[in-house]
Amino acid sequence: MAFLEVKNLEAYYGKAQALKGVSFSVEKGECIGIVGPNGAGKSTLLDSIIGLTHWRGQITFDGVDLHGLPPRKIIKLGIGYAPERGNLFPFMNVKDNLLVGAYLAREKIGENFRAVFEMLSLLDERQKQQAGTLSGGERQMLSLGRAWMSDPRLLLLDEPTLGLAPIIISKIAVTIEDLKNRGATIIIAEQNVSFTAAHAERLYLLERGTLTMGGTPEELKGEEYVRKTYFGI
Amino acid sequence: MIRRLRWWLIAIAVMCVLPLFVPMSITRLLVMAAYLAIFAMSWDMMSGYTGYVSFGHPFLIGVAAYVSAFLSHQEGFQPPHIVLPLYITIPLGVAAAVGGGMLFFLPSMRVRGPYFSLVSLAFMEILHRLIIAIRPEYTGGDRGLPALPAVVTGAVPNYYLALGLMFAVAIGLWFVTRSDVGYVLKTIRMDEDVVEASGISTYKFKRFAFILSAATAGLGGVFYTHYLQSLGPRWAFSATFLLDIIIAAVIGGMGTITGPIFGGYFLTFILEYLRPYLFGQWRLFAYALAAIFIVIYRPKGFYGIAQDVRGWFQRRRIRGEV
Repeated sequence: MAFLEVKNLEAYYGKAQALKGVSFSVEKGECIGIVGPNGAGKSTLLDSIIGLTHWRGQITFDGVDLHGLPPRKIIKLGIGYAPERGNLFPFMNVKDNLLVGAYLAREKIGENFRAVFEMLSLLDERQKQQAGTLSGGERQMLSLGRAWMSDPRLLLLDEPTLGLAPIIISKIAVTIEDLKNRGATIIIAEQNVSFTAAHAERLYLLERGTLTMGGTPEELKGEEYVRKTYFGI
Repeated sequence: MIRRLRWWLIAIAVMCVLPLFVPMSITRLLVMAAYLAIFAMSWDMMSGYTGYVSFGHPFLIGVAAYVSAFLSHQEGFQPPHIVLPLYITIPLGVAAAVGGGMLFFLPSMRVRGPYFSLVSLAFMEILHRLIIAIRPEYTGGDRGLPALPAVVTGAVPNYYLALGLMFAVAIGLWFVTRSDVGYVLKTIRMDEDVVEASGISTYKFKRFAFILSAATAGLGGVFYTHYLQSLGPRWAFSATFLLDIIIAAVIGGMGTITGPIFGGYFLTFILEYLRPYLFGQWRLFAYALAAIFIVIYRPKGFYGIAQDVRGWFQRRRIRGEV
């Protein structure tokens, strides 16, 4: 059985169906990308995995059925989540924001702080700065760091490059490579297909709530529709 | 530590000797202010810290007050009424408020924001109607329960009792808010979903805040009722009483301990001195205006203003040193 297995996932916001029979799997140590335009259902997919939406179908993580589990129990199984735009606590400083993420791995708090500050040295310099005063890129890094503080076995990154300058995106890219080298299993949900293709071993194309294509970045680049629509080639 | 707490120590010292220098009428006002401060701190524990804005706080106060008043009422209603001493009825009243807090907590697991506020308002109204309609021969109905026993008699002893209670509640809540629990409660107010998505059981922490808030409200409620020596649904469940509590916390500064205390005293005195000019419904009108003004221009209340002034003096001092 795969590390994370999603089968026939359907999610709703009231009567509106956001995901229609989505199925994919992730192996341990793998980095996969879910790419698609705005409103395709990428965030809903990640929210469903951690139990923030009402969904039908089947999601299993390391053999555990996630149906009906509250978010805190799913996170306890070892899933870290860095939501879109960070969703930080703006009136708390950087260190306190990281501490919220550390709640589940209190016994490894020192070790995880060191790991996060090693990957994201900027956070180390700004430990006392209020999160609300950070720039967009810094917030994204803090969100990533907070997710890593829970010592996750699977990391979900929602739009890690959204609205960021190229120089900041390259810093996020370095961090993702660093996480991969540490053996992290990662799902990146992104609109930026080129960025995701550079880091993910497999890509899934999500459009209007349906996975329309899947394969290695090279395979997807081989498709004319993908090339034209997402790579602009 | 002493340096940090010096303003608190000065305030406590001043408050302790105050009855020696002020007329009795002011002492009585100070008693009312201390109880309003307790209610405001209690409301703030639930609403200011977790973000679940309660419009039904008098429900918790009322439950405690009615249990203690009903069991200690000296006139002795017809059997099966039993007259119990205050040292038993007061803890029973607080326990009833804790039970009420658990009831209050149930809707918070399903509804948030204005929906929770409306449900909490419904709690207050239901209790209000029940007390009037169900067995008024026991509850006193619309007239309430008169001639209740007092914990202590006289303005000055009551002043020290209220002051002691207020500081005990403030110190207790101060320790809670400075602990990890207080820290998590503040994060729940900011973004409950993210807290839950960090693996923290918001359920557990919210339940704790609700119970603590209810216990504090109950404690204030029973002592206040026995201070007044009467209890009626008209004041206990009135919109004015509810607004007094909320506005005291909002004016003072939500999510703080000092704020609701200051708000309680400020509101009691300002309302007393404005009484000849603001009566009846005009009071509610003034409340609404004050609340709108503060929420728009000074969401952190007087506490925020005090912090700004302090920051200004600090900056000035640093500039002077440079």
